[in-house]
Amino acid sequence: MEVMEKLTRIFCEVFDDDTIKIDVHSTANDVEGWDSLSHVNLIVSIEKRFKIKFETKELLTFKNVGDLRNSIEKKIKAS
Amino acid sequence: MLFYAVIYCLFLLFNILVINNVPDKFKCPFLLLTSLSFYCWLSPCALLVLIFTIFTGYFYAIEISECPIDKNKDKILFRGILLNLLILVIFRYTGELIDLINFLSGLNISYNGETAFSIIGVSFFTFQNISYLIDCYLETFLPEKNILYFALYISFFPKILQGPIERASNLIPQFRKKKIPDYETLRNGLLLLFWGLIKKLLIADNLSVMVNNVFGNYTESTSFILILAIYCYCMQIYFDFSGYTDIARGSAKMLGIDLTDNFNNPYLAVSIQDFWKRWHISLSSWILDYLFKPLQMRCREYGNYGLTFSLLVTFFICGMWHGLRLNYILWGVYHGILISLSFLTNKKCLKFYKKYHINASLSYFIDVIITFHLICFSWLIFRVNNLYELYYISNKIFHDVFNLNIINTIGAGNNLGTSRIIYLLTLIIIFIEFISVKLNLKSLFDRQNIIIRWICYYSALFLIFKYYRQNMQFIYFQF
Repeated sequence: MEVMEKLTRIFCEVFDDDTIKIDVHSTANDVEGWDSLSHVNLIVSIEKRFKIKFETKELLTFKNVGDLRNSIEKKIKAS
Repeated sequence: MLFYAVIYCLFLLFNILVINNVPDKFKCPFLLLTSLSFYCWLSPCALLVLIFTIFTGYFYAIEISECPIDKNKDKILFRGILLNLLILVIFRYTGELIDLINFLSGLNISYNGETAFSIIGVSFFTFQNISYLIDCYLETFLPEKNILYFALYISFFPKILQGPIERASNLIPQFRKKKIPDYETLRNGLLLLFWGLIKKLLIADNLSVMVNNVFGNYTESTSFILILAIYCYCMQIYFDFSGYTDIARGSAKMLGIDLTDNFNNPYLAVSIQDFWKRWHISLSSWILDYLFKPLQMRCREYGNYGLTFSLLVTFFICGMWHGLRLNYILWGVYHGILISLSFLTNKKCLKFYKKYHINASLSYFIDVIITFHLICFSWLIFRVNNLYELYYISNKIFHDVFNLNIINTIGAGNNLGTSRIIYLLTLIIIFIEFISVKLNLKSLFDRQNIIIRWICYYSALFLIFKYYRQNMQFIYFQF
């Protein structure tokens, strides 16, 4: 399964909404319920599902789903 | 120099005239010169601290970006932040720290009043410096090589005293563009400034008389008057601070610069979480980005416990930012607890509304009313002078709430230094302020006949001059 597909599924589970559709340009403004407090649940789910670990510094620089996907892909390749 | 003093208006007018008539390359140097003069007017010593902060921020940011080793970058950032925090503690909290030591130890260390240490605006410009250093460290903003732009970013006079706490990424590109304000921008800026003056001089200052009278004699006030005073303080602090912000944004707009808006109808928030997205937006987003998020991400392994801990620490510090007083800290912790509860019970609330078929409009109304009253109580914590006062007032309100002798006390309410006209005007301004965004009142006003518009201007001016109270400071100047 592609990273983006897997990510969409995680978004649907975390925000409890099966209709969520995301692309590389999506930000917190585009997904209902995605705010600074719920963001941490999303990150923890991604780390568990992809079996990766983000550094705090990089977590603070993500601007959109595209940045998140790039970082996941890099980590998967490196492992 | 007060924002509504005649000398400030002349100073602003002089700046606008020069900006519109000098060649582009002189615009920023001129604005920097007048910004530093404006600050020097307050205190030459404060100017030295400001200049020192500018130089340290500028050189630390360049050092961070040029450092090839990540570990060393961390150290430089740490040194930069520590230095700014030291400046903040020395020039913002020394007086309060001495008071605290005196109180705890029973000593009597004397100091030459608050003015010996306090510098107006120090918490605002050090926070800007810290955000700039962190942005350069995270590489979300490239360090500014031209010290002129960086110095202007820190010291730009409309926002130096009381914010908004601007990000370099918003302000520096605007300084580079050197936009000349056209007629429409000048007019919008002037209207915004005028609206800010109405909020501050007509509403906030007049409400403060009633609020000070009631809180000054709280033991003699009835519970109805105390409740009225809390509502009035709620409105006073909003109109005082948002009035200042409008004056600052209007002034900057007339110089071709757009500052961040600090407020978005905060008393229409549907939860405390929502309130912090609408109140003092530049401070709350600063705290969110540079304090809460790093802490939250470090504690992410601990689930809801980690989140609650991060929120409590963040709001504890947010409370302390306002001053080293127990009530400010309690105010911060109160908000931290409420946000944690609001986040943890959010899904249950939605289920409750669904179960009892409460429609969207009604649930919105319920949420706004509950949130507003929770905020009102937080302003009571913020306003009192000590915890006994808080205990006494809350006790009186909650015990006598079903025993309100409204008819008898309405008369007493009119003898508290604020006339009925002011209460009425407050309601009108609240109405305009809170529906202006939805109904786009500004464009509706612009479409009116010129005679109607000028009647409105003169009526507002007349009311300001009639109800103007002298020597009233902005509440947030002390922070």
